[in-house]
Amino acid sequence: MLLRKMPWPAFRGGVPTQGAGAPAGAAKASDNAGPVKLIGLPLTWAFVAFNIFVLVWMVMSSLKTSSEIFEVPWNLPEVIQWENFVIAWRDGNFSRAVLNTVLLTIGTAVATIAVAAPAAYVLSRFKVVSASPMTMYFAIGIGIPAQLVILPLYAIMNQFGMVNSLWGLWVLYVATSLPFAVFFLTGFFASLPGELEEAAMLDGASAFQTFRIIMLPLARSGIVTLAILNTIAHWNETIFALVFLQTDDRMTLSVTLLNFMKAMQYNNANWGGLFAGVCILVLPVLAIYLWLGRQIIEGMTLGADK
Amino acid sequence: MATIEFRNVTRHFPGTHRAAVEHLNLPIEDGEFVVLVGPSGCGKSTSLRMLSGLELVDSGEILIDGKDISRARPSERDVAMVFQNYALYPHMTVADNMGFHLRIAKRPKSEIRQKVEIAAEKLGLTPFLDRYPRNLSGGQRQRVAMGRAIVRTPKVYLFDEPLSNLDAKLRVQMRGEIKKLQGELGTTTVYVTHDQIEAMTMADRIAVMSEGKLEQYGTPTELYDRPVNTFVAGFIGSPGMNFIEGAIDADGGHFHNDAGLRLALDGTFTPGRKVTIGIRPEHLRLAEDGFGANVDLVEPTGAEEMIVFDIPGGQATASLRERNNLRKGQKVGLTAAPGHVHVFCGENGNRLEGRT
Amino acid sequence: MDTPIQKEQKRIYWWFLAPAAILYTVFFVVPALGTLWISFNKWPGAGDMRWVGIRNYRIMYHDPVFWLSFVNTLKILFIVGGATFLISFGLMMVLRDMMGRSFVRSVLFFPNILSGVVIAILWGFLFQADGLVNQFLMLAGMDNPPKWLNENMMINVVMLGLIWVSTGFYTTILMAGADRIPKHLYEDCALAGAGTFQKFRFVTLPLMWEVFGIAAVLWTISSIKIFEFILAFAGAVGFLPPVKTWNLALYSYAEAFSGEGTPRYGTASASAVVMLLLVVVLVLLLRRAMRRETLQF
Repeated sequence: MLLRKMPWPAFRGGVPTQGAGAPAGAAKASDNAGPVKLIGLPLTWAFVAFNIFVLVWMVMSSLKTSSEIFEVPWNLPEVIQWENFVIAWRDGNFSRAVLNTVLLTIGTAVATIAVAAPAAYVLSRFKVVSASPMTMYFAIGIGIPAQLVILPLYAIMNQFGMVNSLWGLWVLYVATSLPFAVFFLTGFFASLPGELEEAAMLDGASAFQTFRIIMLPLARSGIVTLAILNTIAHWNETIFALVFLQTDDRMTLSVTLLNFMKAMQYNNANWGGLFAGVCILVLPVLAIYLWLGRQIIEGMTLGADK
Repeated sequence: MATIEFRNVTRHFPGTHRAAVEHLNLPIEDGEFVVLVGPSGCGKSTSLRMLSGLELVDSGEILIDGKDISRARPSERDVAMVFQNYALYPHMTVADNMGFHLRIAKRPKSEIRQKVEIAAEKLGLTPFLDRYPRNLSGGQRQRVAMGRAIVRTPKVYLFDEPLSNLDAKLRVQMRGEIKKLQGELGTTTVYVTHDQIEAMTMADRIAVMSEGKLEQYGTPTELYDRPVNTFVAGFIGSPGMNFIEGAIDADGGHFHNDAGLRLALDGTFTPGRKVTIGIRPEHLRLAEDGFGANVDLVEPTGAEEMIVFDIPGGQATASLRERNNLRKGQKVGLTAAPGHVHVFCGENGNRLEGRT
Repeated sequence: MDTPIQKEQKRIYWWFLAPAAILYTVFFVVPALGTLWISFNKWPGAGDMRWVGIRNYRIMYHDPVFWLSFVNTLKILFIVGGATFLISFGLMMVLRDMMGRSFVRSVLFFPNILSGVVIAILWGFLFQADGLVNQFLMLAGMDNPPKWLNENMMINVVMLGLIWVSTGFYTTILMAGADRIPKHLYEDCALAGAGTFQKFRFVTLPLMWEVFGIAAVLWTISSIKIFEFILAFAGAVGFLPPVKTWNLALYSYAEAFSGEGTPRYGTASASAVVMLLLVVVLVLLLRRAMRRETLQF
């Protein structure tokens, strides 16, 4: 569906060179000093300011009392309410959810790569007749919405006791990660120079050794990017967790946040606590983003840029 | 130490209409440095890859030391290859790159280190052993690629256009280094290039290929002095040979064309036969009694002058060592010694020899 | 005939491929086909299925909520898609030769890596009756700011939020496409005396055509899947948001998991199938519409 040919960023010595920062080709390409800039520039910065403001406001609100959030939304907190986090962490079940989610996201990323990398390798590099239709077969999954698989999965997995089980969700996450993971890594492996593979074969390496010692390490940057994207995706994942997890001790973060919000309908609304919960979800992702932002952006938009 | 022989080897890629390599017969002696040369698509790289085992042999056989290896795994053939882009493993140090084959062969670490060090010494790579390929210059990477081949002490070295990524100066230098190294090691070597100067300077014997077929196989001087057809004649030598179409005179000892150009030939040929003669630019010289020529273009290179002349029935390039101060439009006489006029059949382009 | 290498490759091919292929088939493809099957059955989620042919589809056809969801899905697809594209395109033009473009890109892209639930909560808070948006509007002199979160208005706020999030993503894609246009083409244009608009008309636009097509396909696929944002957006009011904000993904989910009455797995499946059909048809149409000779440059 999506897949035609996927030209990939040129590969040179282990580092994919791709639209890094401001490309030379774009600078000064169009000297649009006119109306576009005059109106566009302030609007663009306003947009940027808004995004930053929302983030700051989120963090501020997580440290305020509930009444402060509504009454003085522009102000800094009078007294920093660390207890919002304590409440979310302890009463909101976030402590358990963080643990579950961390285990699940890491487990999913590791297993997804373990399963997808060998498949993507043979699909992209072996001259086997079925490679291209199989690649297509995986790619189709990218266009399939979760709603289309959830009911039969629920029915089947219920039979095998895989509902309300982190193991069951883990298997599900890995399986549903595969279309994008295979698609992504196929493109990456295809961009590796074939000479290295041939050199390894002449050096006496078996096909398996060639994969493990040469090609896998070379695809490292692609694999790392995939791991990050996969981790973020499952850190945020809601719909499967919502359907497949039922009890508090097995909850993941997104659903815990939803439940926390729901619970506030009945108890006293603790908006500060809610924002603290939001922060617990957002801040780790923000940290990773500050650290590896370019890789994440390029990974998520890869395949579209060429 | 090994002999190699291609026997009637053919490779036809599925879905293409002409064979990439067709009925190739090529015997290579022990310790010989053979260069496969030809324009792109001539089958030289395919031939090399068939020898390495990376490419399938459809029919015929390839022998190393008299043993047919055309169905053997690449690793069983005991050949080492230097690739065009060096194919250095970017995630391994120079030492690890050079020792990779031995590591796969599960040799003891001490032996690997020792062999790598010896090879590094020979190639001047000792200071770089712990570096990664990305931190090396083009020439150094080239050396590492060679080092990787040397460490293995294989029966045969294969080179696939190894110098094409280097700048002109470095290419000349590496050309000499490879040749020298091969001489010291005495290992049979097959080297592929599209650059005829590389072929001429390095090879013991050159195999000129075109469209999947072997055109001529011989020493550089043989190819230069007695090209078997117009293709080889045109391919070897720079600038390329001048060709003039015409026919043999009634006396059998001269060539003429319709525009009135006439030249003495070496030996006698069948009178009236349609032929193409070929004269290398360096063999044309100014002579009062030569055929008439008009200067069209003067290109001084410093050491010599390339001059394009309008001659009866076409154009010809001459490279002249002496400074003649020729100007465009000037009329001169040109000639070539009979021994330097190559005669080819007008129909199939094959070399014709005059009777003496 | 194969080389020894190819033979070895064929030997390990299925070993390498099998784990992924099996997992994907069992937990993804088979369930998808199962959904197709269920959509022709009456099934409360347990016990026997009863074949009812296209009855589920007929029920949906007569269900105003389905049509509401369907229209909302299309609204999101076209209105949000159109607005996102226009804004992204404008941003791309502004960012072309702007200082700090990669910083701007990072900030605009950031919402894309947040959970839909989080985005929905933040967005919902901004649009509360006494939320920041209205406080801002009142500061700006508006006495009666709109009630953003009432039933009729909410879908618009949802759509605005989707535009907010998506813009960063599509700006990035368009920027990458624009960056691929070689600089020398613009230089040649400038030498030929072309103005800003002409450069845009004769270089930028034609050379980015393919990127537009890809962006449109990506948007189609992802817009129909939008779920968390809507679900959580009104989560503060009840478990499911007001019907007027539903799209097909919500509808499908609600039919099966609303918790009211018997789960209607049949119609839930049928609407999921409609979602898929929508994706397939739209993507095929798009590819037809955008088809041009691929330009190499």
